Amino acid sequence: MSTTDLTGHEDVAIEATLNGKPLKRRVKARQHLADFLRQELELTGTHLGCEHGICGACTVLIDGRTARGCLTLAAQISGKSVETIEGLTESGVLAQLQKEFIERNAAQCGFCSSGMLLTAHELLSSGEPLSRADIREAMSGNMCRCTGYHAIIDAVEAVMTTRGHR
Amino acid sequence: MSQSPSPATGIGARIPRRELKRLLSGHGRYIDDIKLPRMLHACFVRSPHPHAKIASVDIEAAKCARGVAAVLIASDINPRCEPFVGVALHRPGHRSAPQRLLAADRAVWQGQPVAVVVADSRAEAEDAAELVTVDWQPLPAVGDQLQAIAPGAPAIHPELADNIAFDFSLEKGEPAKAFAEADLVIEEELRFERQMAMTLEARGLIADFDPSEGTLTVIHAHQSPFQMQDVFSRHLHIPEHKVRVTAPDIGGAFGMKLNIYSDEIATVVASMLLGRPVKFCADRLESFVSDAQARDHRLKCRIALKRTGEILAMEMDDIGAVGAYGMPLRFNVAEGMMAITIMGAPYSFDNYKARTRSVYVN
Repeated sequence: MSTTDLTGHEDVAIEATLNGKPLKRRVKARQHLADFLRQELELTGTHLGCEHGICGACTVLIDGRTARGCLTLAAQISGKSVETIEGLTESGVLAQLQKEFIERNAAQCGFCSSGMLLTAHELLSSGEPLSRADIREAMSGNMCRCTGYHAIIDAVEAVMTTRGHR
Repeated sequence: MSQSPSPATGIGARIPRRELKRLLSGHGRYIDDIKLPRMLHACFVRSPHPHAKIASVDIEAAKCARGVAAVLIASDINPRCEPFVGVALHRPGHRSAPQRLLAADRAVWQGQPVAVVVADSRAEAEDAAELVTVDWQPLPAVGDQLQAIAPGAPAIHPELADNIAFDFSLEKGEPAKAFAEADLVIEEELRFERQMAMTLEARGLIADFDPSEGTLTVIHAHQSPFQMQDVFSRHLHIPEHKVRVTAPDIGGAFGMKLNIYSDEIATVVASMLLGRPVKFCADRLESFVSDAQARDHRLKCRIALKRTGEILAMEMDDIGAVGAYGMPLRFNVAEGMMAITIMGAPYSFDNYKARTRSVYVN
């Protein structure tokens, strides 16, 4: 079958690592990763806001880097390691960020929060010192419509200070 | 504050929100996170035109598509619901045409639902919605408020004869005399663009009608579930004690999720017709074309001044475009009324004249 004959209803076999555990499944060729996580695996902490890569609510980590769950096909994660808000919460990797977010009420409706936390986690994982402007720039791909940005930037900055980035 | 927080009352204390730990760990439960047994998913076919005659709707191909449980059109859905007339009873003269859930022979706004496909998954419902063929015959559209009030403008609702929803004036003192005697008159035309809430989570609900007991349970991403209990009961003729509406976590609302939407009520009717839970969660494109919007005003205003800076008079003429129908229970008249009643309030002067009109547009 040539690729032009594909309807999207075909199944594709994938083998990946999800939140540290092996995952072996058949997925719909046309299904994006966020729909796969939410609908098939019931990992509903990854949210969908715009479904075209603008809002960042569907952010997940693929091989440690942030990626848009809505712009990635589920079939594309084969051979890769995917981490979601659920896995990163359970392992405690996000605990410090979550504590500082809660301390400052750096969430209102909470719909953007999973994406904010994962983007902040990636940003801080380099250990580099960052200015407030650097943090703003790095977080600018995640939209919060309740516009609680100040408290979010404060929380990220607080974690950076605690960890003594230099 | 100099005083330390009172341990007895908590006043002044930083109280962490108790739901934040849940929302920040991916354990929030928003409408699209919820699944019910035997639940179906709805997708609407919407008008691509601001104003068009609907010559025919062909649903045969869609009905045969993979995963489809039903394709419902106006003649299936509308008879089950009392039409909405979005008129404010405390504002005499406010008018609206009755609003039905699905467009039958004419669509009067771009995005107006004309058919609903109910299927095993949202993806299959969307696939089948593409197979619905509507014979659209575009009609001249009224695009803005100046067009709406222009002489000879087509009336969006012929039964109203023109596009005026509401026309209200205030006058105090002798404004004409004050303007004639003023040292200086400043005149401005202002335009306030249309605005939308753009919540990160779009609108959504799950309607679950149990035909064996005649009970309706709705999980509704809505700001006013008690209002919706009354609306469902009244318009769908279900006794109020048999209607239960709950709100899950909501991903932003900003007033937009206070409104009554025809696609949401149509989702409830679909559940009543099928006897199964039906979920409708709008996607971003549907949110753009079907969420209630705000503002969109044009104002002409004048101020009459003495050389000393004293204000003698103000005048204001406001026209707000409010879409194609009066919004049930929200009415689309409040913005204009607030503008004309508040504008002069901070100042001391004796002569005032103001008018606000709400007009229908396609």
